[in-house]
Amino acid sequence: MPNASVSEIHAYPLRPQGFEEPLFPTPCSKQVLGEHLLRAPWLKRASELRDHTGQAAHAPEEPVELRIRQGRAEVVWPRTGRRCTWRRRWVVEVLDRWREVGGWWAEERGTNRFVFRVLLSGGVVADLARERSGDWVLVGMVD
Amino acid sequence: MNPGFTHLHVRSGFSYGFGVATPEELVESAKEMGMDSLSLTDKEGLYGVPRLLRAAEEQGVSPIVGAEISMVGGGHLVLLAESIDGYGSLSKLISRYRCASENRRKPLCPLDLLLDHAEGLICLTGAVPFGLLPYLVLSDRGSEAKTVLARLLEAFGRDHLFVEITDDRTAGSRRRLIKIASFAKEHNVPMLATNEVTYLYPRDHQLHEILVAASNLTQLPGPGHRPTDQLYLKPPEKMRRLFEDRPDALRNVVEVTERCSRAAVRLTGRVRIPTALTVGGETKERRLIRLAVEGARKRYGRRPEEKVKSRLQRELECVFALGFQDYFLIAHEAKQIAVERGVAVTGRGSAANSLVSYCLGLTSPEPFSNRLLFERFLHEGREDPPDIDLDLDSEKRDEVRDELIRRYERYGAAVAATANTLSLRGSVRVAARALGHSPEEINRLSRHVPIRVKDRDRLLNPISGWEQALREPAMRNHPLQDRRRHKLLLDLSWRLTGRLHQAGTHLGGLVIGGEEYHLSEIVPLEPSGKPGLLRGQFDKDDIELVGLPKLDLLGLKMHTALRKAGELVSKRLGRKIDPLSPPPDDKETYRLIRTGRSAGMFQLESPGQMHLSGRLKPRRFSDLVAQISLFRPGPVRGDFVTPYVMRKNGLEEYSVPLRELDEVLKPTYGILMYQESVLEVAHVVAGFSLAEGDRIRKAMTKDRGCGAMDGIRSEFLRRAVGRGVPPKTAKEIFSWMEGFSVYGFPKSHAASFAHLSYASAYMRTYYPAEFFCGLLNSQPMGFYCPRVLLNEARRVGLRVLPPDVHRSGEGFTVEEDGRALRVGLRYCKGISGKAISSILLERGKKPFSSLPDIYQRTHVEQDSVRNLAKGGFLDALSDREADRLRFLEEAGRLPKKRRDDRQPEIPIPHPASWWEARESGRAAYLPLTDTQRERMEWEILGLNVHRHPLSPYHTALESLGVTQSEGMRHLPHGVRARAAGLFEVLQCPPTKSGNPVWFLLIEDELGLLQATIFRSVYGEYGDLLHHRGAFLLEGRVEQDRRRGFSFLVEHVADLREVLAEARVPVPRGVSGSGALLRADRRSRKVV
Repeated sequence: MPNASVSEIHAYPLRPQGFEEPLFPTPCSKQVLGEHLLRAPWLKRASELRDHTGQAAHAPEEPVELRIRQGRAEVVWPRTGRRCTWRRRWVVEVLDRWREVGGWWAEERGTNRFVFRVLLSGGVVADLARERSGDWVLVGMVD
Repeated sequence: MNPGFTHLHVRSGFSYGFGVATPEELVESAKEMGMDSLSLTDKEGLYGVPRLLRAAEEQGVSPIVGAEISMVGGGHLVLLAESIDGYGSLSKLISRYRCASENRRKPLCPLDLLLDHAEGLICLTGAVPFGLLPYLVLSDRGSEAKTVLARLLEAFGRDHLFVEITDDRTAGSRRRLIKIASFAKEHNVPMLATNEVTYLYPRDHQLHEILVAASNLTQLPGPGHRPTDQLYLKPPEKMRRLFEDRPDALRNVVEVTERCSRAAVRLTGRVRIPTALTVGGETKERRLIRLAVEGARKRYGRRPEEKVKSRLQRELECVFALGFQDYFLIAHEAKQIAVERGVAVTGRGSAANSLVSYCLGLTSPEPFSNRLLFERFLHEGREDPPDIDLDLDSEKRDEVRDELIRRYERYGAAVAATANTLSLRGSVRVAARALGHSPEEINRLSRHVPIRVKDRDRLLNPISGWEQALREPAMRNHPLQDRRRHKLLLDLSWRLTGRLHQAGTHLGGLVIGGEEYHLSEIVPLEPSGKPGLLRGQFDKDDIELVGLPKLDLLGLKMHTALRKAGELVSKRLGRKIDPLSPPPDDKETYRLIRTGRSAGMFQLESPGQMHLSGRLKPRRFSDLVAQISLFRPGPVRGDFVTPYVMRKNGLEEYSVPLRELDEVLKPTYGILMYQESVLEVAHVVAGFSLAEGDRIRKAMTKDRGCGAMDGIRSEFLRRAVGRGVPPKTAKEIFSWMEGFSVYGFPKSHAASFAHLSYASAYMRTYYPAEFFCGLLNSQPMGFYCPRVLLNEARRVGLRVLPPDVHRSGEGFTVEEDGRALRVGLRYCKGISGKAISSILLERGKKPFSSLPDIYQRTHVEQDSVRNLAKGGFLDALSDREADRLRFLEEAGRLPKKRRDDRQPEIPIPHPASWWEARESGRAAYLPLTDTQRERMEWEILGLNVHRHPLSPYHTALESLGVTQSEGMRHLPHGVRARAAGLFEVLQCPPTKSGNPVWFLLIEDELGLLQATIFRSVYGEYGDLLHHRGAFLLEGRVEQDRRRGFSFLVEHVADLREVLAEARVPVPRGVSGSGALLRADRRSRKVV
């Protein structure tokens, strides 16, 4: 299927034109693809891309703190976090921002937040969300 | 401060399913945000333009008119009218593609057609990502995008084409925007920033998403779902911040706004009279004069009196001065078409004030004897279009309308639209479906939710919120009482209530174009859904805002019923009887009206009118006019009824503040009951001309603000005092006029209706069988369900004959020389018109011998045969009562019918076969009991064919101390009594005090009884009233000198519980127009 969209491959309902589609419907598919990509010689980090586009890898939404220190924003992971080996990163640049509003009709699955795609010190591009409660969560890493 | 930003892509609720706010809300918010202009670009139409223009004028905001056009192949474009020519192009374009689209609900515009209508329009390439250009660019169809852009540039020119950029702040929106901006830069096309406004506030995105889901009949998230809450009317500062990196796109907004505002579209302030067709070489004026004079001679004899001549001349001068002659001629043409085709036609409304209308045959009340004033209808100072309403036989109205439309096709002719809004119950249904509830759940959740009852623009039972709605007795034990579980549904449905939902069609509101302009240049036309019938996009009430007069060709069921009755009488008597020309002042007719037994009589049949008939005791036509006027929300709230009745019956003295007013107010016993009287009072007291008097009346009935009213008051006082009226009396008269005019009723309208009331009363008096037959064959109509009408027919002495497959006609038929009615085949549940025709045809050839014989020879389906048997239509095929059960079993054994004309393989048993006799198992069935038979008939016919359902319980009810409705009226004041009956109507009309009072109408063996229920009793037993169909009422009789008889209910019980073991078939209550609850006319379900 050379021209098939992600929706068609995964037999999802079609999304409107211009909207990104989730690349990994299941953890298994993510793993297979991840292993393949790890071996790919053409793979680049999102931070190395010119326009910082791409779909964030879904992480379990980890709570993070955003602190302002010395006039700069810093993302701090609580000590209980297990996914990351590092604990704090400076926000170098805000690459993009958007609102996520959806699923409100299903009480527990509704989202209503601002998401920021940021370049962190060390070259990591991450999606951080500010919930209505004011808490910050790490939505995912772009690379 | 001019914030320098205007929203140029704005959808209102008139985008039907794609917008939430009304044009008024949008304009008001824009004003609050400091914007001095606002556009309205609804999807596929200009529906909201009249309301935008009015709101913009009121708020001092400059309106910009446009539309969002969906294109063939996907994507949309936004077109803005730069001038009135641009508006004309846009209106024509919308008419063209909407009428040519295959799917009228999802119309698509071909690009070529759009390019042909570019004159005077500014084109925006559509919002990101669903606009035409973004759609092509973002789906990597760059070359197509280039071609489209080049064609748009060629048609609109570089000054009139802008690449629209929007940012809905969904993931990737900036990237998409950058891509579109690069494309625009690459092709050197200017950009323009918009926000694709769809709702007022961010939180309204939920309502928008629900309306989208509703229009797609899906649950959330439906196709095309957009996870954003950013399509709101953003303040200018936010828009500037959002596009601060694109100052050129913001500058272009200002430029386009200025260009569109410079020659803003003005549609109001001018009356656009349609052009009547010319006949021969005669001018319109001469033709109207000729027709009026001919009519005058017909009405007043060959030599009409001087007063007729002079009034006719004055009226015609006024008509010509206003240029309304064409309108009168078209109305006359409509009437002529009706007459030529034998369609009954009468006029209604204020047009009856005109002698010209009377002479043209458009109206029936004689203006002089009824004191009807032309100035109430028309005068030289009138700014709004005239309004002539004609009532036609509802079954033949479409013929007349379609012929008129055919004749005026060249100028454009269409019917008006209606803008339908969501009721609370409708909102619950819409929201529940979007939230994924099943159809059964939706029914459960929405049932008994209060609906709004509207009388013109006024809500009769406004609900302030769910708190109040859930407190309603009807909502006891309702699933929505679980507020935690249904929190979201409750919130959403309340917020949706009153929102625009979908466009409907006003089938009788005809609008016609003229020589100067084609109708489609003023109002876009679209298919109405009825083949061949076009609909103008403006709402029936808004259409007058743009100066288009509407000719109302209304369907009136009473005309249909009277026509049918007249045909039956003529056939029986062998001579032509015209039901619309009864002998005047017939004593027997008035005597029947005075008894209050007026079920079926036009405008006199409601319980209130029945009661009033007994009190008012009408003896002449003017009494009927008064009676019709009195029982209206205005006069009731103004408490005109009791003083009028008392004074008319000589039980109360009356006086007028000034001797000169005696002549004006004597006919109404000192009550300023008619709107026409206000004009006369202003004329007599202060010397105002009647036209000035009409302006005063209008100012008094509408809220014109204190300043305007002060001005009118001082002018009135000055002139009155100048004529020698003492200042105190003048002041008293003015405030008296002010108080009364709010509640007044147009006499012309009442007089027009009174003619039909009298005609129907006359027919009921002298030809009751034909009259009831006409009513029963014109259902649904009137106040009562067919069951009550049939019972009423039985009560007046007519025999009700059972249904019979060999004798029943299509509808009810009159038999026994006008003394009996027979139930028709159409009353059998589930039977099709085709099946009825085939029964009538086949039985003419040869009588039916058995059930399989009917099944084989006709188009009756298997389940309909069962219904025929159950309803008693097949009883004639056997002489045994129990055979009805055998037929039912036999019907169940019939093979499924093939969808062709004949079915030869069905074996027809020989009626005399010994085998058939043995196999039929007759011995297995016991004879049907009366109640079994009645329940079957009730279920299938919805009628009580053999007797009233309470007849078998006569003794039981007597032992309970129940007084029949007839006896109840004669009980003395203060007596406690019990009544029992089947539910018919529950109403909560406006009252003088404003406190709600419920009126329950029940029907027992002897007639109808209206019971009064006050708030506390309703609070206690309201749920019973809403959920049960037969009641035992206990209360107190009141016999008041001023108000007559009333039965005040104190206790309500379910009659079927009281009569233990009783199997009374009772009706089910459903919400009906004009009533809180009425007996269901369609469902025959046994509750």
